[in-house]
Amino acid sequence: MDEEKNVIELKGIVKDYGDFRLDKVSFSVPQGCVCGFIGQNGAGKTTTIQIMLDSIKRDEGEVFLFGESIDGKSEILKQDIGVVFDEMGFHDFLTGKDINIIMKNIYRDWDEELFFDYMKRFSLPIKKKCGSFSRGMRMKLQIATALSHHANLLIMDEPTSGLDPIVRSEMLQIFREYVVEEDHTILLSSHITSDLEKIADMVVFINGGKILLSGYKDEILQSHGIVKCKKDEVKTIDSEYIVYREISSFGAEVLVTDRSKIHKKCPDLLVEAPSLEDIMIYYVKKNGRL
Amino acid sequence: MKGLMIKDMFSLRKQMRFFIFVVVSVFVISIMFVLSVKFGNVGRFLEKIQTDENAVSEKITIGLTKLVMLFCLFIPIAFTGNVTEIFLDDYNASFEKLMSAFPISVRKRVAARYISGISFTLTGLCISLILSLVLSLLTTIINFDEYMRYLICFTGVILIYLSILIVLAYIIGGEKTGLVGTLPVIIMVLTGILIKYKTFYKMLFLNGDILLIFFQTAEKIQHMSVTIFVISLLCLILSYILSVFVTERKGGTI
Repeated sequence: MDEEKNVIELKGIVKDYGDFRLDKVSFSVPQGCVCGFIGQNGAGKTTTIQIMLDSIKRDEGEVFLFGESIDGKSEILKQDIGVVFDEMGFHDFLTGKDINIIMKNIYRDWDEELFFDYMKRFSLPIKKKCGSFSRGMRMKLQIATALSHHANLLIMDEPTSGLDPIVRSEMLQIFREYVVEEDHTILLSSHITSDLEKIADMVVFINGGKILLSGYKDEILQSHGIVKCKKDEVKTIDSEYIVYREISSFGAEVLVTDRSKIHKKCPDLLVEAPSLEDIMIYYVKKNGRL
Repeated sequence: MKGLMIKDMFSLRKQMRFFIFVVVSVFVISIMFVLSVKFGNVGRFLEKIQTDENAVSEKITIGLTKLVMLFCLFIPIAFTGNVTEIFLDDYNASFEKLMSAFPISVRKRVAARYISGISFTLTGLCISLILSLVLSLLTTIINFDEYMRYLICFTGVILIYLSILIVLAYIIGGEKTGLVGTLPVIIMVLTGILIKYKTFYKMLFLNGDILLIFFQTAEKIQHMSVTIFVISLLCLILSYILSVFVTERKGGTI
């Protein structure tokens, strides 16, 4: 059996800014996987991505991309990475044609034909200045650029924030197509968990610079549960499974890590399947940041 | 690196109307000046002071006729000043963030900016050279050899300006265009005053003839063109090393 190859591997990343600290961030993303990187604003997603891209120096830890340490090799490794940020990054006076000229002199494997195909597919005018583009068009332009040098890893930092549901859906479709072809990998940072629920294979939760939870999305969703019960029934739940309990005058809601075990032990309790958003909120509450 | 330089060239393209305006304006003013020296008020003024028959007047006369060469040097100034626009454009577009994802090292990124800046300056100098060549065909005021000496000297001065400007843009932020564009001038003038403080003192406090001292200094400077040019190259190297250091350090801040 083939060993699972990690495209992204972070080991004990520490970055201290004084008022904010990335605290021993470790996770890995296997090849061919869509990994949702979830966290509220200011949780440390962008900082982690920038460390991954070697644009920020880390204080401690190691970063491996495609199985190789980025130290001294980031320039070569980045040839194989497509990056999409929340802002377009291109100057308003540039046209699609201009961007093509710039990019073909930056990326070794830049595919001009593929770029113009994407532009056509996304209905982006080639000769129009991108300053006149809508937010959705700007994002599509970034995606077209990120995909046109045959990158094997796509790193996206909040690409769908601020977009209307139709454009978001279109973009998710593009990401799906990207991962279907060959062994492409995506790291998708977002706080819009509904998008990640649709597309992600695995998720990594970050909060206050610490990784709270990481693993395969289906396993996380299947194992976790929200117990809805009366206040006095909370005591019957084994505390080792409790992530966070919220008690109000009407009753209690408890997020548990093992839904099936709770169901077996307390069959009378109502245990519901949580959404990624529920899980994220409860974990954040547990860490006292909400 | 080449891609980044091309991107900077697109910025130059954006400023094309401004450059055309500067070149045409300088050409028209130079022609008007040349015509005025031959047939107009400047010519009459020169005739008047020449009749004074003293050495001072003669030197002022020579100096005044050379003013047309100074006009031509406005063109490279305009082109070099465009470097601040590139920094501002990058800031407005958040291009630095996007650039961090490119497979280009910090050293190459910074080098691209320096090469672009030097290219802009050289483009301006070439246009200036062509213009002065045309003017030298129309008049005897411009001596082309002498102009070349001034041009080399001026290239040196403008490269020193560029090296201060770029490193300041990296230190205080390219979005502060006003400060980044002005500070190098202040630094250079202050350095000039410190080096030639006697001359400045004479000009300002001993009722020296400012115009005469200015032309005399210009006369001296043209013979130091090679020295100034070598100093400018050293400044560029030093500025590049400092810019790389600053950019690498800034990579670690939020």
